[in-house]
Amino acid sequence: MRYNGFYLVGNYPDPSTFFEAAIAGLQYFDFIEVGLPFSDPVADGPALAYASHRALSAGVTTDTVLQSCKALKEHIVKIGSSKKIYIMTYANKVFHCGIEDSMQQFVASGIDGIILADVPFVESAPFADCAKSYNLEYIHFITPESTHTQIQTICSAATGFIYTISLRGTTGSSLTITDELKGIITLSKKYATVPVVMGFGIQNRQDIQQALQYADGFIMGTALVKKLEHGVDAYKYFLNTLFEYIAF
Amino acid sequence: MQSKSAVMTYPDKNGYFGNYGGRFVPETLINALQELEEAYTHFLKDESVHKELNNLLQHYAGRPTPLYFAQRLSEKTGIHLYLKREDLLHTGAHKLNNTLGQALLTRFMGKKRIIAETGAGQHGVATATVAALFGLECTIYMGAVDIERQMPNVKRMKLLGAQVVPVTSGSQTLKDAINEALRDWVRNVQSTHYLLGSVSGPHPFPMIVRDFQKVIGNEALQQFKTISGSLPQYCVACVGGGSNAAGFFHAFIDTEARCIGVEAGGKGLFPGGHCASLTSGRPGILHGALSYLLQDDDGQVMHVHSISAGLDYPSVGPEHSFWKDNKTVEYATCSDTQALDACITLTRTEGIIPALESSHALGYVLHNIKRFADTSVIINLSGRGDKDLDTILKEVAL
Ligand SMILES: Cc1ncc(COP(=O)(O)O)c(C=O)c1O
Repeated sequence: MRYNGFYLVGNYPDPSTFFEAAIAGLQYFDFIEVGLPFSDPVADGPALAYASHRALSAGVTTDTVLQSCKALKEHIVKIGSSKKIYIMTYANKVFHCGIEDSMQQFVASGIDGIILADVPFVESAPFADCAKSYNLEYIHFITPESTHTQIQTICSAATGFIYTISLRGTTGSSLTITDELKGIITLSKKYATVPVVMGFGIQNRQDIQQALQYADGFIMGTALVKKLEHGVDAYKYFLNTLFEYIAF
Repeated sequence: MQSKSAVMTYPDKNGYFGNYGGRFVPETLINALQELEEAYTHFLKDESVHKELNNLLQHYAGRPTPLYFAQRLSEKTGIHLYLKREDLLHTGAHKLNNTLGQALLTRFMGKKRIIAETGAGQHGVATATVAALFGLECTIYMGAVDIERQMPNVKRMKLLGAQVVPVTSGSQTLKDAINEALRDWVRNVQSTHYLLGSVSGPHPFPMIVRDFQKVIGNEALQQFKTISGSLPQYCVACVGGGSNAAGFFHAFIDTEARCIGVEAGGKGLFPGGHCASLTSGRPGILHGALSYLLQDDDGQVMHVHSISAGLDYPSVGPEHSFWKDNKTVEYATCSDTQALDACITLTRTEGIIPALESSHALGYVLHNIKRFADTSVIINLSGRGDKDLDTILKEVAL
């Protein structure tokens, strides 16, 4: 059940670069997480927080990001692929205009699922139930803090995939695979019927190889967004070096 | 209007005050919030730790604080004005009531490090103070803009042994300091307690902080009864996150007294000019809670402004949102200049220099003299103005 994903900030650094980078990434990955930038991204480290603020200053909005997602979905369908697009954002971006209206807009833009960084399992019902009624996947998190019972509950409610946060920290931290983390992944895999995907802190080939020893897939964000800030060529070159010789 | 029992039983077991509140934090923090709630439940049952807190409040912090009848100002205005003197509490503001309580919870949880956000620096000083008193490691996050306008408090925090981390992201004020504190907590959740300073943030903070601040209202009610044998007509407090107001109002909410929360009207009620989230925001989710929020059409949190760093925040504690909707409390605004005028008036009429935050409560009353004519009004003087001298002196010729 390999299921690998990558994260980009929506329409960042600009809409056409974002679009090109998204298509290039989808040649390697199974899904893309498109970030809808939020003014107060508490789950993000300095690199992604900075990228979000830059995007907002450049006038990025929900509507413009969803336009890009729609075009991206059309491209995916055209080439006969079934790769997925997730929206990754914060609760208020979905809540402020009505959860139901947001879901409708997501569906209309070809989105397959949503990930909300500041919505823990205990607050997820209004979002997850509404997502479900629109056939959208709703992604739950498991973290090193999660207890056995919590892992069991979250796994049985899971749709799409399980987002295993690899560390106590924000995006852009560095990874060490601890026994605790291995234990959590093993337990998640035992209960989950969807892929258990590991994210946060994965920066290079070595991290990927390590993650895939335990998890069904990995998510890379900060490292790619940083490369993209150096231009789409640097980004593509980096992608190529990550995946060269190895089919993950 | 809610009945007495209805008001007293909030929040519900999920941390909601009606539609507001909740725990909108990254999954990593959920168990820490649970642990805190359990520590608080334990605290509520433990008589000996109540005694310890009361002892600290009395002998260390200086409670009860006086309820002072401001005679000269009353004569001048035709209002019977009483001041609840939280400015006389050790460290100079009501914030210490909460930090002493949470320090005891920290000790119970066995955590050795505390972190906090601060705007005016009063909560930062109160946190650094209990860190010194309880022998805890302490880091305070403070917006770079606030560091500049509240320098005396920055120096006090450092002297008390705290590390003060300047926050240079976003608007570089209280909102951004909370973002950084939350990020620290996610990284260090095993060793660290986030000692949140207002009735905002995720459950159980709005409940715990309110409860630790209830002492203000409980004392004021008794003191007023002793002085006059009756109840005041009005209770007025400034609202930033809302802790001094919530703690003050709670004792009066089911009485005849009318509670009025005063938000910072800044330069005027246009986007970016103020921080009046209850007056002109709409429900949204920030820093763990669903509450009234100043946000734009795309759901982005707006830049806000107040002359007082402690009120310079785009949201408000969820219980206030609940009280606004069910009309238990009335919310109003006071502008920067009205607050400054009130600050100077009180200083020169009574010899009390109030914090610019507290000056908003007074400013509202002084600018609505007719409404309050011949009534008795208690104003919660939440803090003293020493920290604000630079700001005040920029506006006043000596
Ligand atoms: C003196 C004083 N009053 C009021 C406030 C506002 O906070 P709250 O609304 O939580 O009482 C502050 C915050 O720093 C303060 O220092």
